Amino acid sequence: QERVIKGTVTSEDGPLIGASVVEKGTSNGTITDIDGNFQLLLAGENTKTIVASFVGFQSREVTLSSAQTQIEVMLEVDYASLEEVVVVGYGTKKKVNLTGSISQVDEQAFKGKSVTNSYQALQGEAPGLIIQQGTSEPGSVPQINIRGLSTINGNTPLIVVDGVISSLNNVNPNNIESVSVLKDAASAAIYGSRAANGVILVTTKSGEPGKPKFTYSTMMGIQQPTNFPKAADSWEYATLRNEALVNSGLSPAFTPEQILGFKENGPNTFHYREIFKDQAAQSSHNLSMSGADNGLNYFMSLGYLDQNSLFKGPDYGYKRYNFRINLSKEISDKLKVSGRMSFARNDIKDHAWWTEWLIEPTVRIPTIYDIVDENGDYTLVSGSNGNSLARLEQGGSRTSQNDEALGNVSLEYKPIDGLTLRGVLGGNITSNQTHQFRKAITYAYPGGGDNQNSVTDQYSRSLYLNPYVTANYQLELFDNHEFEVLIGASSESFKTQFFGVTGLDVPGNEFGVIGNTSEILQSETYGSANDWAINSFFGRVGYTISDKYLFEANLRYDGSSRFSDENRWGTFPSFSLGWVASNEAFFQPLTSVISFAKIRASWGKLGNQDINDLYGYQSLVSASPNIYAFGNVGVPGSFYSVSNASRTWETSTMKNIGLDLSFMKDQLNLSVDVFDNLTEDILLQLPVPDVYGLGQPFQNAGSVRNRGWEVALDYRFRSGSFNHSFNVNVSDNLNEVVDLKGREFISGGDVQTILREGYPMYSYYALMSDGFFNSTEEIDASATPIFATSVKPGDIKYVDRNGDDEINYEDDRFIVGNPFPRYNFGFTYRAEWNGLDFSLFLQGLGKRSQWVRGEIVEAFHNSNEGPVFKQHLDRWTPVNTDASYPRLTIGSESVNNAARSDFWIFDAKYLRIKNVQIGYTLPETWTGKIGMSNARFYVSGFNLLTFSPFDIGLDPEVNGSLSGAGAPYSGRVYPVSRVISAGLDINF
Amino acid sequence: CADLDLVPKDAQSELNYWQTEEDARIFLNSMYADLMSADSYLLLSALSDDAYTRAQEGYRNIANGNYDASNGVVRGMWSGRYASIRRSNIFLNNINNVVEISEEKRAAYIAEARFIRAWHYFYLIELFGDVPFITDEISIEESLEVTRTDEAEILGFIYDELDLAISDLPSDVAGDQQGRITSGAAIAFKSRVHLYNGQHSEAAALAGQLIDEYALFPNYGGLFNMANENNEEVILSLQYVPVDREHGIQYFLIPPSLGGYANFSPLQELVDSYPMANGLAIDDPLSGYDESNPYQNRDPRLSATIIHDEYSLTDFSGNEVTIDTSPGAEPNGLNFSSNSTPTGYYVSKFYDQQARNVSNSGLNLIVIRYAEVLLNYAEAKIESGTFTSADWNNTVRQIRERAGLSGAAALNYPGNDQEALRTIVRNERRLELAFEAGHRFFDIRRWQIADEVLDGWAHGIQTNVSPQDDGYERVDLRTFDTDKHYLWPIPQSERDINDKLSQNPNW
Repeated sequence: QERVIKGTVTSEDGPLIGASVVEKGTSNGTITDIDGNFQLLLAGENTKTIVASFVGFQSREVTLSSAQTQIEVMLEVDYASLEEVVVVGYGTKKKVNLTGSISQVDEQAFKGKSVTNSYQALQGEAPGLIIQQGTSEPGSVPQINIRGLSTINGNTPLIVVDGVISSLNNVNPNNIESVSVLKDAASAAIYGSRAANGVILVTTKSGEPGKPKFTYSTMMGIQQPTNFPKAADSWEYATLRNEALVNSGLSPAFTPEQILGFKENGPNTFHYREIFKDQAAQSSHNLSMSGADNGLNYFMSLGYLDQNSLFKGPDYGYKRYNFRINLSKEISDKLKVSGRMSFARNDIKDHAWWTEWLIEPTVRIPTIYDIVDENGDYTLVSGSNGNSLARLEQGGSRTSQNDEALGNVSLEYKPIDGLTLRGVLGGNITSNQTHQFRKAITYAYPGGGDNQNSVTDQYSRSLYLNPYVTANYQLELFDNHEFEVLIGASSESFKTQFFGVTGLDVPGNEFGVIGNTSEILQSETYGSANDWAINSFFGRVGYTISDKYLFEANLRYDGSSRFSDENRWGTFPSFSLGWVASNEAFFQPLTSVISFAKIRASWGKLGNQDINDLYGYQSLVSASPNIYAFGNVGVPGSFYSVSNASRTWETSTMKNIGLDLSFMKDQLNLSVDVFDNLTEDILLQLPVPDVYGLGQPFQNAGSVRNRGWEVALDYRFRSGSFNHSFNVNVSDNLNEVVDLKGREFISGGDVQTILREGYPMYSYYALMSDGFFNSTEEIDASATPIFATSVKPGDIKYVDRNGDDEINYEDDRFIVGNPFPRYNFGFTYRAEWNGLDFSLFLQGLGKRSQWVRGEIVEAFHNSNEGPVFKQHLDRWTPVNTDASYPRLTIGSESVNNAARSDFWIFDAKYLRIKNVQIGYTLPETWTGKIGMSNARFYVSGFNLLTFSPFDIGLDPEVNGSLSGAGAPYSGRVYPVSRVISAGLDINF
Repeated sequence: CADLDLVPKDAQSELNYWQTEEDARIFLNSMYADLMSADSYLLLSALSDDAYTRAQEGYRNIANGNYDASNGVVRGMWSGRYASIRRSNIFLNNINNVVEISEEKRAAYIAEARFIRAWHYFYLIELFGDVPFITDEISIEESLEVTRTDEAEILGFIYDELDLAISDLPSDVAGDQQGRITSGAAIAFKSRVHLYNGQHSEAAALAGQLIDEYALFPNYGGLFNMANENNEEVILSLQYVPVDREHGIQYFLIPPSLGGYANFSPLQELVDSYPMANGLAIDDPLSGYDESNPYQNRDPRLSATIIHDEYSLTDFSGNEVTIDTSPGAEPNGLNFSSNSTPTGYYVSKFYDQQARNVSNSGLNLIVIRYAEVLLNYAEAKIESGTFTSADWNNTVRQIRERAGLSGAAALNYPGNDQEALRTIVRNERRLELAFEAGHRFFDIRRWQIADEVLDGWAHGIQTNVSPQDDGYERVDLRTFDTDKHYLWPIPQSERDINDKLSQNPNW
């Protein structure tokens, strides 16, 4: 017989409209009407339970008595997420029971941000997760790092997608359900040797019980460049050029008439700005279907992203196609089979040059020259035999097709209660193909250098396999004594093959394929293959007493192909403890204020072997063609590689103490972590003396300590029909070289860094400036550089560190800061009101130094004709001694000021309005009528505004390298884009 | 489980190298590539009063005295030599393990390696004085504690090694081996080393062994043409081949209208040192020099070396073009743009009209040639006071005749006044070997004349814009401190990690 249940779903504030009421275990359900009322026709005869749920409230199950027809369900606001399940290594765990340091990011972080890859969406979302990207060049990927530098090598965290080690580059942000960031040894140790830089666990979406659910979401946006240096106007340039020439004992270059001419008639062209458009489009579309029925859980999705390049030229840009299918089937109560498969293709169409080469001349060329003349011809001016705009518009293109197929199949078997056996075979295949046709360009002006076309084809493919097996046993004894035991074995192997070929001279400058070239360039023809492998055994024991006392231990044993047989294996243990004080009886009087309190502590060791030099424990001899020639025929040559047979694991001992507190019925949650990581036997390419005669091998060099703290706070409250939430996270860390066996190492050219005990790794090492000289008397009374033959008033004065009355690098360098980002913070505010939603996301760094060199900061860098920027107008002159820039000079007169000093180190802290969104969700009473369950429109702005003292025209994140050991930075980059978008999400 | 014993697919282990003749040969090939880079071949001359480089900051700063131990060129010269010395040491340590090789080849290869290692030590002691002396494959730990060895000891080693090389090297090689080091090259080089170190009788004796073994190529300008590579005058040259192995120095040399960017510009001081075609110096009242027509009737080597105003040449497309270097002339004029010459001159030597583009030329660069041997001989004899008119006729006269000078003042023996002869041979050497492998730079140092020629303004053409310096364009103010600049400093990077390494005086 039919049975109908009637009832009301309410909250503290009254009836809930659109709450869902479902017969448990089925897809049979309904939603409440405008008065909170529902009526549900039960399908099953033995139905005992009904589930009521509503977004933002805790779901509630109601057990029906046999004759019941009427129920009232009151839902409580879901402030906290302590019952939330967190993905941990090889499993999941209730958040309350965590003993390690883990931050969880939910799918909200990926919504409404005009990101082109998943990393960008994570920036600022989790304390201790540091992401920096100084360019929005299509296809570029940010630098990412957890808790700063414990090691230098491969400082990107291990990324695990659905249980398989992988990368995030090609994961569709729309498919991500949750991200766990494992930061301390206790949580990461199960990944042993691969986890020294932390682990990011990504879980993609799966279906929810019920009928098939379709979603479509799209974003359409406009990108605009945010940062360019401010070039001086052409007449200002000419004036300053004359000043610099006269200051250097040379004759002025421009007459007053010419300068007046520039002022009145121009030209006034900043070539760097001219090679970029004002705006470019960006759009994305995502379609998915998901559901779960009869033990089959499915999720399928298609994604498309199209990011046009801001470079002028024929439709450069980046397109990504994503396809994913996640399936799992419960074959019986004991056996479950799952498969997850994703495929991504990147299509990048780029100019046929190197971005840095295109930009460098455009920065240097003074504004007195046109980039295109009045006849529409590309000019050749000021030290260049090419024209970057011509190269963009007529110089051909480079197209890359990168495919990545990623997947895993797993079998889960539960032979007895509490025991789960899992076998997983995961892996990925990549295939990258690049085709470049660099066309010859005919310039109307003499002296053009781009007169030869060339074709380059490059191909690489790789296979990564990661099979693993685990056995997990869970047992509860004597009431409230919970045990968990996990053991497993895993193997990873990676193989890649690549080749490339370049040919010259395609007759006719069209139809650029390799077969049409007249000559194959031997020196650009190559091919090879690499592989590496790791075998691992691991185990975990967990013990929880009464949800109060938590204990966990991990052990991992790893062998790596990167080390010789004797040094191959490493053992990495960890332990952690937790105490949930709020579950103690004595705490109960306090729970009305402090609703939850937990203290965590962990200790563990992790190994690292992730150095890019795969075979460097053996000394190798490799041959290359055309190293020399005899009788006018090229001959090959062979070379020794650098090697170090004794290299072995570097190990990090990580300690972490954490405190989790919740207040006011979990409305306010606070989490604090303090950590101390000591990395010993750190693998570094230490500088070796040139007299050694080979390059720098990796050596187990010494110890580095990295200490830091993290605070995360979230607060949610309702006021009337407003829902508010605040989320703040701040973190800091800094490393320190603890032991270098008494030695120190200085490296670098234009930018020098030092490894010295007691200081952060790669600290800047430079002369210290002390204002400008204002008179010859002051110069006579001061030390001046031995490397500068001319020092005049207006030049930078340096501190004579050893007081020997001369400045030289050997004796007078100081440690003047370091490149590491400090005080990373993120702040999110979200509000909802009657279907309207608003969110504001701020992100930034509280402290950072950037040492910048080259034409982007120096006027007339290296005796070039240009550039001059607006900030150089405030140069020292006898009447402007309170200047920000020294007197202007050319050639050898510039040697004093161009010295490596802290004058060129800039403050690059910043605060960025990273994302703002305003959205509106149509009432379900409307959308329901046209068969939709949900529809939301929104507008969003990404990278909206940046506040920073770093005002030289570069983005403050510009030197994205987080390792500190980056190349000297000259700022030759595609700028960072602001993206203004409109979006639509529909569910039906 | 995966296999953890992985080996690379593109390289072999050192343990199973050194088996065959080919192993030895191709290892040796890479040592040849180290002899000298094309850039330093050219740019060393920008450290002299012959030329100026605008954009090679490291070189420019050495030339004008604005440098210290952290200068990149100083370090590069040091590190390049020691990298190559390591290769030589590896080679010499392992060559005797090679089984599949004839004893004749083994001996020749060893001799070539000894020559190359001695070559590098010669440059090191010339530039730095006392240097670490390493003849074995040292460990990193050893390298962190090396000290400097007296240059006299290293010099003795160079002589011994070159003697061994001379006795084991062939005097000639087959056509397909052109470019290999011969006994002639080792003899000529040893003569140069002796000359540099004031051992004049040894220098003269060695140079004398080669007289009439080689010959001057009939045409001075043609000596540097692609068509005449490896001709009878060439004793050792750096080997380049179109496409396969190319250098890019042409880009530094030629005018912007041909695609160059004037990164290496001849100075007025060099131009003025060329005599008239009659052999008389331009400041000789009888020379016939006309300041308003300065390039007329000059020593033909001037045009074979330097592109001046109103110079005609054949461009890459085969058209005759005239280069206008007058101030402000578009596009080649003095300081018209940063592509154009800062001195009013470009370089015609090494111009490779067949180059596939401006930055890729396959032209060989000569490092030892017969004319140098003759000049070494003449200088050694003059300095030892034994120079005769027969020596004159065998050396300077031959060179001048080949250059196209004529007349008594140019060709006749000027008498045995040592000071006058010294002046002649020194100037002759400057002109004849201009821009080749840094000869002038090393000559200034060994003659200790830097305070005369490398102190004060370096000049370009006469523009009369300013009355100073007779209206000649000022290009670069140079400073030479004789108390320290005759030796380069030991690189800062090296002393930063090895505190046992001492520094040269006053650095």
